[in-house]
Amino acid sequence: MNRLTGKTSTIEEWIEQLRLSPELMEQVTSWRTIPVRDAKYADMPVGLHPMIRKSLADKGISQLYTHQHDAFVQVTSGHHVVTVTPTASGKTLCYNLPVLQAILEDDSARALYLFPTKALAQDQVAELQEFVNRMDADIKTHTYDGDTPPTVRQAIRNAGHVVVTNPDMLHSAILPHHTKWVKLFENLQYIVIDEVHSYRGVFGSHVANVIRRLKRICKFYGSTPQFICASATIDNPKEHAERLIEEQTVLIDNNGAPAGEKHFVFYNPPVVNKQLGIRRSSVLESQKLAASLLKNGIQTIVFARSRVRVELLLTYLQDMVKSELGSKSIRGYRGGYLPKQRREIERGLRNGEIRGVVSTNALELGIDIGQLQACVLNGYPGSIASVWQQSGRAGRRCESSITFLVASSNPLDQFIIENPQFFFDRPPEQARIHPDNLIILIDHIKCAAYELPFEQDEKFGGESLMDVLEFLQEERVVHQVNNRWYWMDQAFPANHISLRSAAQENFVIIDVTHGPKVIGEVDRFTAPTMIHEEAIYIHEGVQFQVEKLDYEEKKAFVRQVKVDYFTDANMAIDLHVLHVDREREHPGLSRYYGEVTVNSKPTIFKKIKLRTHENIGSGPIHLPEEQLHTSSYWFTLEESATSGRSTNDLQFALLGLANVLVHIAPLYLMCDPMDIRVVPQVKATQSKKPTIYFYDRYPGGIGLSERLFELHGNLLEEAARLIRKCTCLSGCPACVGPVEEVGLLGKQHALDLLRGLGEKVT
Amino acid sequence: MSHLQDRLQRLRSTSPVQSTEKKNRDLSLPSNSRLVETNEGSFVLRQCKYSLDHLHGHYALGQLCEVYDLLSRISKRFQTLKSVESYRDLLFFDTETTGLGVGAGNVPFMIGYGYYTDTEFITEQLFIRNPGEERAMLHYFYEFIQGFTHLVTYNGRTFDWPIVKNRYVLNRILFSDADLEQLDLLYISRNLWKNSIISCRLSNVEEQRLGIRRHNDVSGAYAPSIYFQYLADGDGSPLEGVFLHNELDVLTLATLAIHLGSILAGQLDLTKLNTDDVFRIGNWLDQANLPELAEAAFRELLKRPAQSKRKYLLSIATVFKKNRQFEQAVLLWREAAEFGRTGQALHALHTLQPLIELAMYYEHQCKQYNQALDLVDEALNRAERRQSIRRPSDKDRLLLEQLMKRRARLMTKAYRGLSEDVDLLSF
Repeated sequence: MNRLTGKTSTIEEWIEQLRLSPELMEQVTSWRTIPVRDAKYADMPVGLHPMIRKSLADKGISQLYTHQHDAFVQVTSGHHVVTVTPTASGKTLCYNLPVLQAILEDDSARALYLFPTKALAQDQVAELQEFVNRMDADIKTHTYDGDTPPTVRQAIRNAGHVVVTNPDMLHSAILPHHTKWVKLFENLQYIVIDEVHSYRGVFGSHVANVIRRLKRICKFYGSTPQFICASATIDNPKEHAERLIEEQTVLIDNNGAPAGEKHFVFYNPPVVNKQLGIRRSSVLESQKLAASLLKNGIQTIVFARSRVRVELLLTYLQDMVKSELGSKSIRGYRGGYLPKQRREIERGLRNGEIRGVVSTNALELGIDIGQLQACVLNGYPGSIASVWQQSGRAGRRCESSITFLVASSNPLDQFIIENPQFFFDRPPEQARIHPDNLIILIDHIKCAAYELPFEQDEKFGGESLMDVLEFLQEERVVHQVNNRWYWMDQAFPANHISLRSAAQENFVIIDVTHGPKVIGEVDRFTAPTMIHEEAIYIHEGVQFQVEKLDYEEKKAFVRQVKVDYFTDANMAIDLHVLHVDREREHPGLSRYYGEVTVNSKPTIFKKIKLRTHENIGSGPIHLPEEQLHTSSYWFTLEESATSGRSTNDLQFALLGLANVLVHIAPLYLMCDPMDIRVVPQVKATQSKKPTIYFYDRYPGGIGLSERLFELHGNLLEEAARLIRKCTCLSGCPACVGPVEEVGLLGKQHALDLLRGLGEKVT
Repeated sequence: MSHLQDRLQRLRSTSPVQSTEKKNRDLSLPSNSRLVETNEGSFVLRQCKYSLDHLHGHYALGQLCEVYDLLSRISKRFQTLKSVESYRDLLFFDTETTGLGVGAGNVPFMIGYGYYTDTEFITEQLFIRNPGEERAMLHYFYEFIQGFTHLVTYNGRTFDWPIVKNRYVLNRILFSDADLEQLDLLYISRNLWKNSIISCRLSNVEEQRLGIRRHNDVSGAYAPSIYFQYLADGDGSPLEGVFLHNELDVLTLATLAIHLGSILAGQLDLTKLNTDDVFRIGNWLDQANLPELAEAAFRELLKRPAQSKRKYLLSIATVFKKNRQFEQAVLLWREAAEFGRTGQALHALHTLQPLIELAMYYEHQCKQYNQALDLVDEALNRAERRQSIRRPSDKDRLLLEQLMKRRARLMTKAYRGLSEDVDLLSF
């Protein structure tokens, strides 16, 4: 430590300092150290092309890591593979080596690379091009996306050996125009899909269908490409990849890359009001930890769960360290920023000019920002896999790294922070997709019909293709002649179908403070709660007030303000059961799975004071109601379980239980907590019985509710355990919710209700 | 009903379309048509014959025989394009498709074309009664086009033709069009009339320039829905309108080719055209390497009243300059510069250019540096006068800077010229 400045000089020293400061250590509920991992090498595979050997040697690589070696061997012996590796383990060689080998052996061979974002694709092309240049071989690698100039598109179609693109582009530009890509599809040998774990939920279900279409086109042109997939650590990489590509795969998970020592610290903010179970704000605690790291020169990434939190943290941090580091050295990073701004931030992180970044999970994906030294997670990001991935952003090969998980007061965070074994000893979540979601499936059958007529005996997905085609014939978009179905509509179907549910309907945010200027965008689902009129929208740490929301034109006009509050909106939700698919009876309750319609409408917003987070006012929101047709899991309580309770008590009990369940559910589903919603009704619209509904927040459902229906028993058991173990007296935000919401006896009511259902509650 | 069908029913936004009772599936064939049956299947072929003196708009179809050999000059790349050997080698081509865009799912359900024999102009339309007949039609069409060297279309280069080519790829039929030149009349039409016709759609061009009026025409935009309706109910009568529309389009292609050919042959009476048309025709003729005709067009333009010809003077002078016809160019620059002398100071921006052009001419062509200096000084005068009226833009400042540089250079040259006569150094 430097005695004059009080600054530590290395991260190791900083960690030692932390161990010696009791006021911080008091809040640490768990500290695990993951030891140094040594490299495991394998010899260069027999048969590896001499030019590739040379290119590797020029970069100082004389041996491969075990996983790189095995990937090469498995791929070249003809298997589809999926590799699972942590961040910074050299996974790109797993697919680049076999691809380059194939092209060097046969110049007509082609490969298609898919990345979830344009930025990742561009990173990859740069890296691959560099490798090719060292070989001095004539191998053409191109990105093909919305930014590709029309003048070079034709050259790429005909002569590009490796075409790097994203699923959206494949869906809307390449597959519908496959006749222009004959060279590619006739000779397609490898399809590389990186970041397969990110293709889950709705997006993944769409992508699985795009891959069905891709395989169909390949078959038409006579090629049967091999898939090479790469995934971050999830529980079911092989199963997930197999569902995505619908082929048998070989799993490669013998990671041979070395890693430095890694400290994992669980940090629970101090309780400030024991009766109410209120803890100090996790935002403030995260800020404190991050500021200390940054002031000691440690390059740090802070992850926050929402865009609002990113902006809050950024404002606080820039404020705190601006005298020492200058505000430009700490930046925000999230979905709404414009691409140019993002590239600049990524560059700054790599070259070290930017010392700190506050991000949403946008930086969880493999965008190249180099390796940082420390990571602060403001709140549990919703899945074990995400925690590992976010924490993987910190960790340089030859020094230690540290990750803090700072719990917020919501029940899920509190559960994790109090039960570290749940995190450390449990495999990360499963990625799930539901490619046969009827709405998604039909959309892609339309696109597929546009691309090629369907034959009588064809298969597309798990549902009966013939039934769907007959349906489309009745809708007059396909026409059947002699056992063939032809697309017969003026529309170009891919235009109306966006793989990312809200992508095509983004709201643009226009700052009118100094003449109109677009500063960002917000997706359709978050728009009603984030940019309703009078909302405070925070962008890059600057506050704006929404002056006008043009809902039709999808524009929000904002003006810069300086106020000491932020806003938070409420939604009113109405729910109607359409159809019951599955049902089970238990003592005291019945559970169901089926289809519902959900009507939602934002009602009011609250103004919440910065820092103290007290409620200082409210106002109405005037926006149209939205309707959602989706799948749902719900259970209704029988008389026997609820007898002897007033409606009011029952209301509090249900609300409390719902509050706990909505936070536990994402534990079992690898999904964004926002993807699954919970609605308690003390008197359900149709059955008139007390009911708790869970529904997928996507039209048609994406399999989340169905999984919860199956997990019903575990859910209630876990809920009982969580409430039981919570240290508050009568309910707090960490379990059933604050007393203002669930009443003074809310905790007791919820426990009584669970006891009535046979759960262990003492 | 299976569970899936239940769910599909619930998805339906409205009650299902009552499937109308299907009429006789066999299209009662339209007039002048027959069924073509091949090994690959069958399709409908409709044929109409026109005598060469048939009038379509201002022209008789046979007039093409006088101008066809110039048609390759329609293309910007005419220097490298095969020239048209015979009017019988031209295929006038237009399709009706099921949608917009050039994706794999857009099907040309009708391929229309026209061609000349020694005695007639013949239009033929290939029509598929359902998408299953496409293969037969494609085979037939490919064999048919083998005799032709040039494809005459309106926006066919980027729309109709790529779509047809797509269909060959989709049906895995080997196809090469390497020997077929594209003469797409859209580009030159836009070039000639973009200022005088609001939208250069074929229907606007034929009405406003070719003297063609259609009665009860079915707009091409409705063709897809008429076809889908026919697929659904089997009633072929509304299709008659589509056949007629497509046939007239093909005839208009021939008329438009004659019109453009007459321009290239110098046969079009330019005195009746508006000034902008004459200017653009002159420009085109110049690019088409027909300088005498271009000059004739420009001369016609210069006969027009001062007010209407004024804005073209500089452009025409530029053409003359490029062709090194300096005498004509100088006259035009002088005339243009005159406007500046008499006109208002605010117009002076346009009047600087002719002065500069003249100065360049005297400096580089005639080496008369004093003459050039006078012109530059006049230009500077005007520029400064203007600056006193309004705030100079960046462009103005740049211009002024260039003028000063030019002036300095001319001074040196003039001085050097002087020193050859009188040895100033001896003073």
